[in-house]
Order: sequence, then C-alpha cells, then structure tokens
Amino acid sequence: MGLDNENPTLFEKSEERIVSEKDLDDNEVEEFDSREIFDLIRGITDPEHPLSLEELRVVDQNLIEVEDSMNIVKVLFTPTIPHCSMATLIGLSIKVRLLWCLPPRFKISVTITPGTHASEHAINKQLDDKERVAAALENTHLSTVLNKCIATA
Amino acid sequence: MAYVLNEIVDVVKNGNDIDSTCEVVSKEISDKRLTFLQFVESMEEILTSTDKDIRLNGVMAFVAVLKKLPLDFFTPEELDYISQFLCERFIDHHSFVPVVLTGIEYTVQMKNITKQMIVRYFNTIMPHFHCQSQLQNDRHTFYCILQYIFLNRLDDLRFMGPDFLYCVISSMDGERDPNNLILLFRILPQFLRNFPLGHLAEETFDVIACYFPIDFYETEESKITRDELATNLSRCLTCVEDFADFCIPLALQKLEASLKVAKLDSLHLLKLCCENFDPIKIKNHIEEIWRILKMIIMTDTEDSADEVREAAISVLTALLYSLTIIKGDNEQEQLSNFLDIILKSSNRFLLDTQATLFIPSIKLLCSVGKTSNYACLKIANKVYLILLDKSDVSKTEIIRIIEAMGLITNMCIQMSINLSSIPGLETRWEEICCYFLLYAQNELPDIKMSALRALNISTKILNNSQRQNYYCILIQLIKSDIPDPIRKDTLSCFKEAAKCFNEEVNREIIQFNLNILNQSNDIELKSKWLDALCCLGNEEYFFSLISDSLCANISEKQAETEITLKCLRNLVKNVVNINLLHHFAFNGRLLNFILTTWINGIKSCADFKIFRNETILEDVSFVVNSIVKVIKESEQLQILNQFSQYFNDIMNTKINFKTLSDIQQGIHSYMVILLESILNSLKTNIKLNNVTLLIENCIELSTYSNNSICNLSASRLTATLINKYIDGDENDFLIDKLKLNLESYLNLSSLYINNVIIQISWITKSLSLKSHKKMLQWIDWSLNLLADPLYGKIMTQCFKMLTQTDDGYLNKECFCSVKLLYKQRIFCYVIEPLISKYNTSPELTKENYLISILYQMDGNTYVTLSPYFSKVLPLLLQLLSPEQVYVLQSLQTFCNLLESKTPVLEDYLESFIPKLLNLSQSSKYMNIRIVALQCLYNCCDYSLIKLLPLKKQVISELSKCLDDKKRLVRKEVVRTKSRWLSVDIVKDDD
Repeated sequence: MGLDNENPTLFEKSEERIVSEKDLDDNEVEEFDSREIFDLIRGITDPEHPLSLEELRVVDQNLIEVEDSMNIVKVLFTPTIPHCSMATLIGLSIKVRLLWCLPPRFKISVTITPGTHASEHAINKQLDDKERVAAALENTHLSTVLNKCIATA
Repeated sequence: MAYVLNEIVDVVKNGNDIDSTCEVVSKEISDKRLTFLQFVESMEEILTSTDKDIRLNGVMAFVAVLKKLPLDFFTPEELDYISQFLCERFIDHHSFVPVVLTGIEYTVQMKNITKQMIVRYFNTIMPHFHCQSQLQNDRHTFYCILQYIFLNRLDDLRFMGPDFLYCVISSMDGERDPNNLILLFRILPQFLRNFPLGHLAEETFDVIACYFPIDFYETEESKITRDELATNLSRCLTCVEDFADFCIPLALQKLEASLKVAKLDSLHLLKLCCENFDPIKIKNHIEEIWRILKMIIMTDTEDSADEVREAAISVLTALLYSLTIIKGDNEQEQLSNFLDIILKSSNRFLLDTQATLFIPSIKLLCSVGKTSNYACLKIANKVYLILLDKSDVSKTEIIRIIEAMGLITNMCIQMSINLSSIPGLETRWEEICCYFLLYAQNELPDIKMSALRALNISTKILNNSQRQNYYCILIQLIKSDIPDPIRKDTLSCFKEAAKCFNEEVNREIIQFNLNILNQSNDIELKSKWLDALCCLGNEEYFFSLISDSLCANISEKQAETEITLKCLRNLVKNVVNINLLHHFAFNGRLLNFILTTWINGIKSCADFKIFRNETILEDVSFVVNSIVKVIKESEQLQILNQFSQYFNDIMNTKINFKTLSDIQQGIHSYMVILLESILNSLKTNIKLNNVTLLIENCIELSTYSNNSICNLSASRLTATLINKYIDGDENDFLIDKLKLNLESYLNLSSLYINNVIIQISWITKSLSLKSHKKMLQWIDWSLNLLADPLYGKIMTQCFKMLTQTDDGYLNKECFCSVKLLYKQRIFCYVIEPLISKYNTSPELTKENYLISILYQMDGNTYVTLSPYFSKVLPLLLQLLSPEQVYVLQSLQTFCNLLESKTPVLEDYLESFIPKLLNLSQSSKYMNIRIVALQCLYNCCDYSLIKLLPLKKQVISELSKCLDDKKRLVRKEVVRTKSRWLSVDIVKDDD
C-alpha cells in the first residue's frame, strides 16, 4: 500500500525541559502548563513513519492551551497534508494519551488546527464523541496500532 | 581356519552376532590366512538359499566382511566379480537395497575400481532405485556415494549425460531431511559446475529452488542452523551460469514477501547473483532489481528494517561492481545508464533538503559512489552542483546541505578522487571548502557545528590559502567563549589539522599564540589554549611542546596553577598514547618539575596557597600517581631512588607527632600526600626499607593530623602498604600490635576518634582485599564498634567502604592484591550478625546496624543476597512505610534490587506493591515519591502472570497520583502508569 505522504518535511526537536531549583523544592506547587502537555504528546509516533509528532510538527507547543484552575486542556494538531487519512488516528492517539496521563478533573479537547485538513469538522466531531473514542479502544486492531504509536511517548 | 568358516554359516543362518564373527573373518582374510574366495564358497548354501531372509543375512555378512578389508585389498578382477554380485543382489529383492548400498558405498572408494564397474552400478541403480521411498539413513548412504563420485569419478560418468543428471535430481526431488539436505547443498555445486546440464537446467534449478527461502526452525538438538542451510542453498542456486535466467526472477519474486528472513535471504541471493553471474545477464533485469531495491532503501518505514536496508545497499554495490566489469565497446555505457536511473530516482529527494529522505538518499549515493571511480565522479558532479546552486536556503536547510556535502566529500577522499578532477567542477571545486569555511563563522551554533564537522572531513583537501583561513577560524574559536559541543568539534578539527599538517599548525596556530598565552594574565584564555594543546596528546611531534607549556604555567599564582593542573589531570586520565606519559616521566621532565616544585614548596613552608590547597594537592597527587602507574618497574625504581631522600623524615625516623612543632606537623602532613602519590602504584617487586616504621608513622599522621586530605592520604597509604608488603606469619604480630595501638587510641580525646575509626576501616578493607588470615578478627572488631553510641555511626562507613571499589587506589591496577569474591565473602560473614544485632539492640544504636545492612546490600548482587533473602526482606518491608526515617535509603536499595530483576521478589509482589503505592501517594517528600514510583516501574519486569492480578489496583491508585503538586513526580507517574497499562500488550514478534 502506498503511503499518503512518503517524503514528509522534518523539523527540529526542542530541548528537554530544564529542571529548575524551584522544581526540586518540596514546598513549591507547580501547575500544569502547555509545555508539560506538549511533553506528554510530542513523543507519539506517526502511524506512517518512525518519526515523532514533534519532528513532523503535527503538534506544537504554541497550539496548546491549558488552564489549570478551570480544568481545561485544549490541543490543536496539524496533519502534514490536507488529505492525510491518518488524521483521525493521530487525533485519537493524542486524545487517549492525554486521557491516560492527566488527572480526571480535566476536560480534554483535541481538534484539528482550523483550515489544515479537508474533512476537519467530521474528524473533530468524531474525536469529541466519548462513545466513539471508547468504542475505538475496544477494537483490537485499532488499539494495537494506537498502543504502538503511544508506546514511544 | 575351517572353524571360523563353519561357525559363520550357523551364525549367519540364525542372524545373530553377524558383525563380530565377520570381523574375525575379515581379520583372517587380511592376514592372508584365508582367502575371500574361500569365505564366499563357504557361504554358498546361504547365498543361494531360497529363503530370502537367509539370503539377506548372507548379503549382510558379505558386506560386513567387505567393509573391514583395506581399500587396496582386491585386484580389479576380484572387484569385478564383487560388483557384479552386488548389482545382482540390488535387484534381487527390495529389502536388500539398504545393505547393498552400503556395500557399493564402500567398493566405489576402492583403489582398483574401474570405470566399467561404476557404470555398471549406475546402470543397475538408475532403473531400479527410487531414492525417496527409502529411509533417511539409506538416502544418506546414496548421497554419500554421490559425494564420492562427484569428487573423484565424475569423468567416468560424463558419457551418460542427461541420464545421470536425471538420476541425481530425481533422487533428491522432495528430500525433506535437513541432514541430507545440507549434505546435498554442499556437494551439488561441485557437480553442477563440472557436469553439462543441457536441457535439464531448468528442471535441476526447480528441484533445488523449491527450498528457497529456507523454512526451518532450529531446535536445541539440531546441529544444523537455518543460516547454514540458507547460505549453502544460495550457493547452489548461483553456482552455474545456466541458472541465471531462473535465479534472478526467483530472488526478486521472494523479495516482495513480507517476512524479514525471506527478504534477507532474497537479498543475499541477489547479491550472489550479481557476484557470480555474467554481468550481461544481470543487465537484463537491472530495472526490475532497482525498482525493488529503491522501495526498500528509500521508502521502507519499518523500524526494524535497518538490517534489510543494509543488505539491500550491499546488493546495490555488488550490482554496480558487476556493471563496472562489462567489457566491450560501450564499456561505461551500462554503468552510466544505471547510474542515471539511480540519480533520476534520487533526484526528487535531493531537491527538498528538509524532507525526511534527503540524508538517506545522500548516504545511498555515497555507497554507490564507493564502488568505482566512474560512479564516484558522476555522483559527486551531480550532487555538488545541485547543492552549490541552491539559493535562498533556510537555517535548517544549510545544516543539511553542509552535512550532505561533507558526506560526498568523504566519499571522494575515500576513493582518492581529486575534487578538481570532477567534471563540471574544474572551476568551482574550491567553492565547496569555502562554503564550509564561510559557515564555520556563522553565528548559529548548529550551522557552525555542521560546518566544522565537514571541515574536519575535508582537512586534507584544503588548499594553502584555505588552510590559512581555516587556522584563523580555529584560533578565533579556541579563543572565544563557545558552548561545549562546539568546543568539542573545534578541538577535534584542531586535532585533525595537527595530525595532517603538524609543522604548519605548530607555526601558524601554536607558536604565534603561545607567546600571548605565556604573557597574558587572562586566566580564561590560558585555560582555553591549554585545553586545546592537551588535545594533541596523541601526536609525538607535540609532546615536548605540551610538556613545556604545562610546566611554564605552573607557578605561584594559584588560579593559573589550578587550571593547568586541571588540564594535565584530564590529559593523563584520558591518555591514548602511553608514550606521552613516558615523555612526562623522563624526557620532558614534567614529573620531575612538579615533584621538586611541591617538595621544595612544602619543605620551605613557602607562603603560597598552592602548596596548601586541597584541590591542587589532589590534582598533583593524581597526576604523579597516574604517571608512575604506567612506567616500567626499573623506571619506577629510578623515580623512587631519586625522590626518597626528600621523604627521609617519614620513611626512616620514628615520628611522634604531638612533640613536633606546628611547622613540622604541617610539613609532614603535606609531604605524606606526595609520598602516597609515588608509592601508591609501585609494583610489588620493588622493596621498601623499613615498611613497618613507615606504616606506624602513617598511622600516627592519620590519627593526629588535623587536615582531612592528609588524614585520608595517610590512612589510605597505610592500607596500601599493608596490602602489598605485610605477608606471612612473622608479620602477624605487627597486625596485632597495630590493633592494640589503635584500641588504645580509641580511649584518647574524642577529637581524634573519627580519624582512628577511619584508619581502622581502611586497614580492615586492606586485609579483606587480600583475604589475610587476620581479616575476620578485624571485621569482628568493626562489628563490635558499631554498638558504641559515640562512634558507632562513623563505623558504618567501614561497611560502605568494604563494598566499594576506588578507581585509583587499592585495586589491581595499583598492583595491590585483590582476591576474587572478597566482597561476597565479607557479606556472608557479616550479614547474619548485623541482622540479629539489629533485632536485639536498643533504639539508640539500632540504626547503625540498619545502615550497615543497607550498605552491604547495595554493594552486592542478588546471587550473594539470595540465601539471606528471607531474613532481610521482612526488615526491608518494615521500612517501606512513610513514618520510617530511613525510608529513602531503603527504597533506593529496594529499587536497585528490582532493577536487577531479583527473582525472589516476584513472590512478594502483592505484599510490597500496596506499600509502594501508599508511599507514592502519601509521602511528604518528593524524592521518596519518585523512587517509590521508580520501584513500581521496575516491577513490570516480572512475569505477566504475577502482574495481571495487580494491574487494575495499580492503575487506579496511580491515577490518584497524577494530580501531584510536583511536576517531576507527575512525570514519573506518567512513565510508570504507561508501563503498567502496556504490560499485557502483545508484541509483534510474539
């Protein structure tokens, strides 16, 4: 089977987050911020290539919005090409990764960056539907692929 | 004589014990006491019997006797009868076949066998023998006959032409036994190469090819490996030119399989095809081959495909080698056409430098280019021109362009191609290195680094003016403040340049700047230059220079000396060329300079900090020690003799520290550090006078000196000396005396007790290392000292020390005696007393035992721990609760145990996992929470069957930790939870 995008453009990876002295102080409290969310999802592997979502610039720290006090996390992701058939799968893996790794108090929304995919609305709707996400996780084939993507995160 | 013959008739009739009787007969025959004819005549009744079982026994006896006779025993006439007889028996009854085959196997090897007899054998065998309906062993016998024929008598059968070939291939058609197959695969090439295949070529190929790719699962008993079968099979498939037309399509067809072994086998076969078949034949399939290779090399996205990709590249290189040898009018034409195809398909990847496949295609082209000068020239021309003509490039693109040009330049250098000889580049070749030089001055670190790496590769091809430019850039970089990775690249460029152009580098870079270096007061600048100089430690040419500049920068000024010693320390620590250290010790006088400077400085009580500063003294000691360690015994002796006079006070006179003046006390304290650096790594054959006195003096110094580095040196030196020089019964009294002395010191003022305890620990360690017979006494003493409320706590250090190994001291590199498994021996000895004392002693001293136990456990592996596990584990589990003081330390120990997959813990998973979960939620300290989570992470190494019942609980408990207030803890929770979530995911390979 041919690949949707056989020769994608590569971007640089960002440095590891630097641990500050404040991080090591037992009494300080750190809230969730966009970088922390970004760190959770940047290592997810693209279903087509052995490359991370960060390298392909599918996820970007600037497109993540977090409000800890309001319990809101919003992630926008950008498929490499407008007709990418893997967009749903990528969105699903981001969503599942966040569901597993964030405290349950957060309302997580994962959507496509406006104007970057042909069937944007359909995919956004699908990702926002709890039932469909749950159903996708029940599917053996789909969950194998998902696990493979998330394993590297 | 007659007796044997009479007996044999009965024996053969009954069918018992034929072998041993036949052996007697053979012996008689070969000793000429009996003739073969007589033997056959006596068997008349049996061999002509109407009962086929009796006849069979007769043939068996006949063959058994035959097999015991020498290969040159029969005359041609006799052999003729024998072979005729065997042929008749072969068609007598099907049950005779196995035994007759053994007979034939033996007779074909006989000296006097003639062509006629061999032909007779095969004329009988061919119409009457169906190999595949025989048992495995009999088939093996037949293949052995074939093996002998192929090797020695093939010419006799050549006239039979296709008939014989057909006999061979039909005998192996459908063979399934791996042992037979491996034999066949080994012998077939010899046959196929020397026998005309004619119209049966395709048939023959099909019979062999049906095994490709080999599908064979090795078991533990099988002596044959899959690889062995596969290699031999592919050799058969490519051994004759006639197979070319069938073999290449076969390989290409199987290459499209999804199985990795099939792919690898096919690639290997394809490579052999390229190597063995006529290039003209290969040429016909070239486009097909490239289509598939391209797919594998360029676009295979599987993670595990590296091996396949490499194999594919090796096929491609084999293919190109094959094309280069096509001779004829259009010698280069084929190669050129193919190169065009390759370049055309990589072209689109070369255009977009930012795309994923840019560097892989450059790498592919480099391996292609390395196959012939022609290919190299063609590729270099194409790629250089594409890259040089790129304009409007972004930052990331520049980095990749430079990397690519570096790779191509490397290819040209390896093929010894002059850049100026590349067509199309005659006027532009200098641009390439200029491009590198230009970007080496770029502000952006990434660009600078890639340009430096490219320059490193192309050092040799820089022209004169470019080199001048390059040197200026290097000087500038060395001088300026640059981040570590860039400095590393700069220095490796400097090193490479110094290797290729040592005089020039010395003149243009070093000499010019050395004056500045020596006169400047800028410490930072000096440090940078010294660092740069020290990286030339591999080149003999620079030895004197390094040694001189280091000496020149060691002075009364503390800061300068400090940085110089730091450079020197790094240099001797990472030295590659041992000659440098010899140079320091003798020709360069560096060692001499350092030692005399410090000896004089300390002795004259010069008022400079460098003679008192701990770091400096430690560096000096390290450097001297490292140099002494590598030189020869005689050279060590020379150094010792030269300097021992300065240490007379410590080595030859009894010191009474308390009665000395303050100044004297200071001198002694610092001198012992230097003395240790010289004595520490002496070979044991070098004898010291008055070792006992020296040991006592060292103990005196270690006890009373109030300088911590001096204490350490003195007590360590004591330990080294005892380890190296105190042996034999006559010295036992000394050890006892030392013990008595130290015991009395313990009653001294509490000021010195710390020192005494440390000294006791060092001596205990020294004795334990060499398993001295007094060792257990000292260990017992140490154990008892733990109970003391005053100094028990310090004593725990001893139990830590016993499990630790120091890089520079008390090890085999310093020529100390270190017995195998000494750590384990101590552990077994101390662990039970420690545990029982822990359980019985009062609260005040309890923790001393606990800490010692933890130290001991940390230093030993599971194998040592296992017998004591049932005793230690409850103690550990008890500690895993948030209110315990030592929870972090014990958690760390526990984590180490889990990390090394200690098997015993598997059975206790359900008792400690809840404790760990509790710790990770409720501990006040983030460090404890983190280590507890790491423990939980490591638990996943145990077998799934134990983990599954706990999975649900762990995951739900871990979810509670996800909202931890510390980010570092959250990171750990995510890591652990993901691991637990994926424990039961079936991997692809399962």
